Amino acid sequence: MRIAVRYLGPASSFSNTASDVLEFDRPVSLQQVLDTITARHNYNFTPPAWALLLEGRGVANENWAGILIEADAEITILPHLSGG
Amino acid sequence: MFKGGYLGKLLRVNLSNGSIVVENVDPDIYRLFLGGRGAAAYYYYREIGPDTDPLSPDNKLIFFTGPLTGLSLPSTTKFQLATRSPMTGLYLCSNSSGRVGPHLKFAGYDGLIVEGRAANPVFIYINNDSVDVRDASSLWEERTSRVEKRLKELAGEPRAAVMSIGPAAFKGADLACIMVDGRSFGRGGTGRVMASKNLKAVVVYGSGKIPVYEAERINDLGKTAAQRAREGKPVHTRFGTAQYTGVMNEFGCYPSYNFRTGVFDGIDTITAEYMEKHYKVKNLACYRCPVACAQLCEVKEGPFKGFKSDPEYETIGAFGGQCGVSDFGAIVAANSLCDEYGLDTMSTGTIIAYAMECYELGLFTEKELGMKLPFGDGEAMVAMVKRMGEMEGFGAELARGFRYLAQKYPATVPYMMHAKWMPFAAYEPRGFHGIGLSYGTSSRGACHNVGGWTIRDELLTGEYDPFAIKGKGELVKVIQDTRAYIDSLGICTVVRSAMGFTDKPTGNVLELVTGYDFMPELMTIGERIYTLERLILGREGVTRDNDYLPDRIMKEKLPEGPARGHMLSKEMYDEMLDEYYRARGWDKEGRPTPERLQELGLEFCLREG
Repeated sequence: MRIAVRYLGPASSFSNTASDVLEFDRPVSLQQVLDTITARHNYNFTPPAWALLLEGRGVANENWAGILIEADAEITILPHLSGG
Repeated sequence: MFKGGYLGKLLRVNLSNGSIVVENVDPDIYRLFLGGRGAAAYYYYREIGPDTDPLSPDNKLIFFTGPLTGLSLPSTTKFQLATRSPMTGLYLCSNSSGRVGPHLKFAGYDGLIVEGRAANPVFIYINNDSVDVRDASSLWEERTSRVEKRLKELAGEPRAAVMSIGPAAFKGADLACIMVDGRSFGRGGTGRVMASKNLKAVVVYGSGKIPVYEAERINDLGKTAAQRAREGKPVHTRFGTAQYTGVMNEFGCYPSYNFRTGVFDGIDTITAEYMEKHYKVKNLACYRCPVACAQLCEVKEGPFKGFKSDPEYETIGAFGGQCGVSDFGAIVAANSLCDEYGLDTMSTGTIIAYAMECYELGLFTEKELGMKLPFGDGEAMVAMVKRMGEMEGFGAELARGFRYLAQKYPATVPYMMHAKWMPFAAYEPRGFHGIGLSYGTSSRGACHNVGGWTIRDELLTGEYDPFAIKGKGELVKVIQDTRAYIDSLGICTVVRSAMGFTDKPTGNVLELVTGYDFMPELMTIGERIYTLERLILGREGVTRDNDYLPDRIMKEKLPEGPARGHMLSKEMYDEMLDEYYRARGWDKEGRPTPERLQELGLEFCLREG
């Protein structure tokens, strides 16, 4: 199972890359994906600073822990916009 | 009723007759309207009639702090202004950071009302309980940074805080702002109102203490909240609001070329990441702010070498994508000139973008403009900013704003991106339909903040489709009410969540400060403020007809990018607007109903018709 990760705008400056492709051999929780990203880039994308889109749709910070990914997917990490 | 947070005093200075009066503020005003924007709107409702000319002595500058302004909590920097706008001709609320608000409270006042008109240029000097009006003739034409320095010298108090106007204001620019310690009351022509009163500046120094009900607990809470704000905003600290530039472009919602498209082909050299690498010098922080989101930039080479400023997302949007300018140095320079002349960066950039489109369409000629003004020409853009600041040539026309330009150049009206004559902010309504409703129903014209910043909810929560209509009316109402009470507290919105100030308020900050439990009422207070503002606008002639958006948004589809093919048609917009009015308890013409006024405790408005 392949999970494509995009680091949008400033997120790429914290991960030092614009994208990743992560491979998993079984369904994983969103939190496990984020843990993998943390291990790879030595930076922890955590709420409330960061936001996340799964297949282009927003996932509220409070729902991150409960999401299970069972097939190929695309995740976008971006700053948690807060008005401007 | 209150045991802290408020001083209960208001300073009223009449520049026509020189009277300086300290008045008590009825605590019920705070109970109903909290302070800040709410209290300023209340005084506006009471004191500025619908026939008041914005530039007459009858107009007033009503400044109000909130119960948290100046306290030992994060970013307690904000204070508010209500006045009648020369740019829109309507009620205007505006907020600013800086140290003036906190010092006003340290001096013993919750608010300051300036009325009348001085015979000659003056500045007001407030030093605790000593208040006087002093001659400012020698400073009248000075730019803002020099004024601040000289006024502190003249006042003999280097710790004083200063708000002042620049040359654009006294030369008649309706886009003129009031600069406050490098921040500003930016939009709507506040600076021109101040100039019409022959008032160059207000200098404030206070050394008193603001009473706090549970001072020790607030100090502890302040430390925790500051830590939470700092940890929750690493992107703001590193990039400021410029962080949104690349993100909005990715979603096809970065207004470019005067809203002809939502994708900017020159984006790579104006993003926050590019700014950090090539221009950033250091962070700047407002009063007691642990985030320090302002990014001081300097141009190190090229035609704009030496210019310094701290462009935010909106400024980059106005001078960058909107004008098609990909030279970040030109944006820094334009921002710097606006600050020095005292011009609103957002309106200035958006109006230059309009002029660029009119130039390319042949509606404004090179001879008329006094220069070539094509999209993408950073040097021409900066030259036009200078002319607007100096009120020279066609710059003197553009600096009057859309309301004036529409009268004089009616053929160009289709290219004016505004609501109620206030130029748009840098978010594309065809890509985020909620922000369209925000622009249309904002109580000061097209404002993403007062109108309700829907982007987070439309993009990040998963609860809303950005292109959907249903639910947006209710969403916008909730965000507007939330913003209205936050604008009345005296804190910056960047740190609000760290203290529990959201659409579902939590925590006990206000109770610890004031001894009064506002928390259960905060959203109602926000709705009350918004409704009062609508009553004021209605009194000034605003109806449903004024809540619509330009034809470009309602009739032209976006030509490219992720939002390609989308527009916000009148039918779609009407559906949102009807839902919004219903949610507010307003009738189909956008008038608050008597029933809702009673529910909100605004019966006095009914009695007074």
